[in-house]
Amino acid sequence: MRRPDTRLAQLEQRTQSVLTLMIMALVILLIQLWLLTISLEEFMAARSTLAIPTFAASGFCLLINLWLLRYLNRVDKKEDGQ
Amino acid sequence: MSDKTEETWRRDFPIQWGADNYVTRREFTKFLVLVSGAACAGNGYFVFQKYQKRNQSFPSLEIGSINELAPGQVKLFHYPDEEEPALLIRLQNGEFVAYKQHCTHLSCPVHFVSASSRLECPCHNGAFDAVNGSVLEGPPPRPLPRITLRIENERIFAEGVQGS
Repeated sequence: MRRPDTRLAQLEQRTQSVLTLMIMALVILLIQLWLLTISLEEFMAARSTLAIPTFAASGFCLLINLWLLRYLNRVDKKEDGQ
Repeated sequence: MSDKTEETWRRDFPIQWGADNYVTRREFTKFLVLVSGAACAGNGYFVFQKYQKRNQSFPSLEIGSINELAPGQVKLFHYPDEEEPALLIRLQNGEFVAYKQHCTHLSCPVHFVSASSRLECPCHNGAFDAVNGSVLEGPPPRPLPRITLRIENERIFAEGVQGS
């Protein structure tokens, strides 16, 4: 059985990892919201030249976020397996 | 509070702030990814609209005759459906132009001022050039959507909308 202080230290480490992932996901989401406002502004002005580039960029951001989510789940499973 | 009392308290309520923070942040990160998907879907909607608009067709609608309006006069009509008010204007040079009546700022109805050849919005003092619909002053961010006209046998037809 592990000592409580070791377990707490590991928990603290995991929390820090999740915090880092959370900040990364938040920054990426802010970029996506910015892309969305560009698309909206284009749409309102009856233009659509940036619709596909912003969609592609937003999709790329989503892929990064999904990768972060996968990494997060992997950290969870790894910890549960111990 | 003595150490012994504190230990009893911890045994009765074994809450760890670290574990609580971990779960909260993990769940919030998952929520952020969900919102990220929604933002991407929002961008996808505009791509969908782009291709849908490309296939959109406007009806050809007779809105009046050229003898109906003297230079400087205006006529209200609805295009492309009954819920979209628009203005047919005969400029001082005799040319006909038509615009949607909704201001591009907050959709207040604009009115034509013949003396200055402008379309003015009374809500926030926005003004548009009657010749090409461009913004002259005020808060409107975009020109007025212009309705394409066709004149045939002295009759005026609305054929489409540019910049809507």
